[in-house]
Amino acid sequence: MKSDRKEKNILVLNCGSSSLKYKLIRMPGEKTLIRGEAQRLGIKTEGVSVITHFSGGNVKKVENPLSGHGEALCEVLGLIEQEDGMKFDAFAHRYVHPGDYFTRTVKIDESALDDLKKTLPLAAIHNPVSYNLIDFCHRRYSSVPQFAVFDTAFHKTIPPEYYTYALPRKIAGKYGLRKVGFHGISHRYSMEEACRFLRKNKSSQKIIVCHLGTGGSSVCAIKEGKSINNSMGFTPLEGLIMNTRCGDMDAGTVFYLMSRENFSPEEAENILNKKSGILGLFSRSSDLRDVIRLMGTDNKAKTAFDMYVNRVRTYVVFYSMILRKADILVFTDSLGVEEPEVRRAICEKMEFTGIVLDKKKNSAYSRGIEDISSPDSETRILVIPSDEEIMIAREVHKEMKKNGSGS
Amino acid sequence: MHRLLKSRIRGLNGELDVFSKKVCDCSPADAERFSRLLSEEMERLDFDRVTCDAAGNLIGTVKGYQDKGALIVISHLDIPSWEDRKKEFPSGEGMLKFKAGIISGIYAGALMKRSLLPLSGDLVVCCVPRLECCDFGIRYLFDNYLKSEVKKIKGVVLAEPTDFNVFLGHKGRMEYEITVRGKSCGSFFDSRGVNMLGTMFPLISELEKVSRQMPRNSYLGHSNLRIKDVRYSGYRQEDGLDEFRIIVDREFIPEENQNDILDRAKSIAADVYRKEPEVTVSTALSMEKVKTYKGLEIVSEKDFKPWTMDSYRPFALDSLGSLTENGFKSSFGYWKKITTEGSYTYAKLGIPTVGFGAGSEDDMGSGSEQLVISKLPDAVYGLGLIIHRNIGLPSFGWSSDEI
Repeated sequence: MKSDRKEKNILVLNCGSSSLKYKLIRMPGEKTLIRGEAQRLGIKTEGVSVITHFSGGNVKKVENPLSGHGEALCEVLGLIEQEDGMKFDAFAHRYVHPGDYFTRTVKIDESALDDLKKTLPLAAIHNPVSYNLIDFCHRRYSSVPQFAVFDTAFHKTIPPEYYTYALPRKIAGKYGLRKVGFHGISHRYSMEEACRFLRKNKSSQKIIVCHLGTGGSSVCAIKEGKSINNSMGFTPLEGLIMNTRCGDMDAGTVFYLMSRENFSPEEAENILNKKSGILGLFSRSSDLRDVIRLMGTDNKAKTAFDMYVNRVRTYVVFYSMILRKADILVFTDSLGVEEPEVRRAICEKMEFTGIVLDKKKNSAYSRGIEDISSPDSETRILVIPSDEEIMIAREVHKEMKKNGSGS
Repeated sequence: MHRLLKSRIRGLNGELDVFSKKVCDCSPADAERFSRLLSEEMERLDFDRVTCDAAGNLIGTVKGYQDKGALIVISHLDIPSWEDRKKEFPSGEGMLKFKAGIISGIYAGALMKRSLLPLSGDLVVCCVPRLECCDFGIRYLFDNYLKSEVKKIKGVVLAEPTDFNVFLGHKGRMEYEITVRGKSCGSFFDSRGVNMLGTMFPLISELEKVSRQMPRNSYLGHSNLRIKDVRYSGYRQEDGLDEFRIIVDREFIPEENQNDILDRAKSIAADVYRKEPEVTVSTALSMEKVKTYKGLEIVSEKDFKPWTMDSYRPFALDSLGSLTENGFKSSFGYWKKITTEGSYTYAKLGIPTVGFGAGSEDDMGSGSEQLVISKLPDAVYGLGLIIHRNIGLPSFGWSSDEI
């Protein structure tokens, strides 16, 4: 599958617990050749596993029982090679949480696999899925170089005064309890794209990125190209109000709830992670888009929206303070890009932080990267559609050039 | 985490159905073929290691990513006795009284493997052969394979019928023989003027009297004494004595001592025949000669010890908690009729042991097997919850697919 071409086709793989997203990207041109997603892997719902495969202008759906990610990958590779006649030069895996074992993108070999295995308990549901697929590729396609790109690696530069929890050092040290931060690949992509768009050098910029997704959301403070704070913590539960996650709250309420309802840790976690956030506040839906649609007539929706926005604003103000005013504010991911009302509400009356939104530009935004800030705003406000896969491909391509893999 | 397990169960349902049919269609009398069926399924389901020891124990391992103590899941395979087999093993009638335990044990291993949830220790799924009242398989398993291959054991889960409750013990069961020897003339004891058959009656009657006054344990109920068989072996050339034996099947509670039971039986018999000048009485545990299809020959005592594990033990509480927190209406309980490998794992070795499975004791070997089979997905799910709670790693804060 390797070739001697100067251009490299990198197959980016992004695992969920029962899904596999993939994108074949031609580097360095960053052209997406093929993309798709395999869903319902190893589970049985009303239908069998399905692969939705986009190539050129065509969409193909393949329904087949697939017991796991390895089997799905074989099917996907079959589609890429047989149907599209495409070759690829490397696998690039998104890996959520490498702990302290990796701080940058790594080429997979036996030693890296050994270290990756040690990270499984750090994200006990996400890491094993990725590890298993990496291990599968290592054994099955040993001639193809593969790389792991880490979601948390970007936040390795957060200083101790922001990553440390005020817990007894002995206990925190024993279990590695500290802020880790997530969405690092997305935050980094936003930073790079923002600097490219504004023709600025990232080493001189102070940036706040609001990654506002329909699932998870986080805000990141970036200074001189390095993450210095992120609203997510030891797990993705901390920080913003999300679709079903509560985000920041008094830990005492958890103990009170556990004691009054005789909840186990698992039951309590299920409430905070799966039944709270927008769903807990609004109850009819966990999707903020439904909240926005109904908040003119529904008080619960209005309250949920205000709480959501206020939490984001809290972080934007806090990060503006620690950055001493941001040069750039980025809105990214589905809600950040598709919902002008969210951006408007977050930026409202934020002049004291240097943030002034141009309401017309904000409402008129349609696609791509755009500057929606008012001319008198000290902070440039950008909308940047997220593309983690491109960021992953960039990282891997850089590594391939460095160590000559596949060339 | 529980949603992940539940979704994986749904993914396994089709395979579980197919395998259940195969197990039900395969006669366990052909132990070798039956064992092969189970081991092939374990291999197909990607167990990291599958092996079979000389005693016929089938062992499948799902490797943990650490080595902080293994969890052993044990189901049992009833095999026919030496006599029942008419000395031609493996032909003859075999019994498989609880197929659901074997299937759920194997599929619980597959569930953990498919879920990819990291385990802090190995999960060892064992299918253990046993004879009625004779636990040679579990003894051999722990004294050999597990002793050499597993450094530390965190606990044992017995895949036996509990109606989805967590069971913590049962009565013991032993089989012993009372042997009475005396000098007779033409099979008549002179002093009694009755033949040997008549001579047995007073002892039988005395034992039946005793059986109506058995001690009781508040969890396990009354002990039980049944006369299983009476054998007259006739005139013995070597000492010129006649001999008969009464074989007693005895259920007993933890408050009773095995030696005391044998001494008491001996004293009852001695008292019955105290007026016979030349009568001697002895008692001993029955022995069973076992030959496995792997060729191993063992002579084993017919003895299962009673056991009750305290419900406040963390292993018991965690196991029950894992179920009740995820939709099972489980509580602690005890088997009233059957014996399990807990007699060895807890009563002898002191390893924390609980039982969990679909169906009730009454379903074992009854016509309601299909009903129990239909509950297998829940049994596998429940076992998965117990396994994860005891050797799984917490996923708090990580239960959403999307970050």
